[in-house]
Amino acid sequence: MVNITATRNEIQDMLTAQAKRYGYSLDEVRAMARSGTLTEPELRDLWLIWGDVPLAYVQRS
Amino acid sequence: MNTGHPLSRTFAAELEAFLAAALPRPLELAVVEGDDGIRVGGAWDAGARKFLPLPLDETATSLLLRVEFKLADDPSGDFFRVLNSTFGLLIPVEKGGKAKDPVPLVRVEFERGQVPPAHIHFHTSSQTLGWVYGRAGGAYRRAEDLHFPIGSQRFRPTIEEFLLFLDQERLFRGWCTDTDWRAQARRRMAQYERRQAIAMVAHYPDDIAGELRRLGWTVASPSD
Repeated sequence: MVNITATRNEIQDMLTAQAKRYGYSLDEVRAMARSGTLTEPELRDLWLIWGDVPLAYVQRS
Repeated sequence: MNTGHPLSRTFAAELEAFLAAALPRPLELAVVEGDDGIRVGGAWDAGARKFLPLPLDETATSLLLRVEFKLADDPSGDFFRVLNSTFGLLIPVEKGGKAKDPVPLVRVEFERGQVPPAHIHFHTSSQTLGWVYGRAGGAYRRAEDLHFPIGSQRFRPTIEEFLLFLDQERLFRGWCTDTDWRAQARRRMAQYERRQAIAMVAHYPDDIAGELRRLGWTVASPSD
């Protein structure tokens, strides 16, 4: 087992770098998570484990 | 810094031992301690500082298993709980002779407090689904964007069940042959179900007391 510690800032830096790979800022990813429009699988999985707000599941009409 | 409940480290160690018994290659899970909980995941990418999916075997075209959990103490502080988890199967991709990011085939997500809390994203293209969306009106949605509900917050699929699914449907055949990983999986699933059943008692004490009485038990309320 590998044991690592990570501060919130380090996690945010990682999320920022990963968001950038998909052409987004961290704020844009956060907004998509809040509004239920974060559909990019890799970013969804990352946000599920590392994100600072819940993913929202929006009922579409 | 959240030090994490000791049981969460036991959870990680037991998960690592189970996966090591099932997969035909050495593996080492990573435990990341953060301010808001503990994350457990596959191989650790020190450069990107994130988890990587685990190759199922040693081949260059191995399927990849994503298995990641976010854990935190429960409100009582006596136990830990899984806040969120994601596991699934990914496929290696090559373009122009170079390895690209793997693409998912199926993702099993759990997010506490959401509706539905446990759901599957299945990556496929479906003319039938396109017809359904066309008939219903509105924009087309990709199949993988749908949240197929698969259980409740308490009773949801586990990584053990997912590995047994891969085995039963012959999506992977290179499992360890010198361990009893299938029996371990079933044992761990039974333990999980018992733990969840016990956790339900505090939420539905009157219903559970009533059912115990129906079965012949003598149950007294603390207020009696």
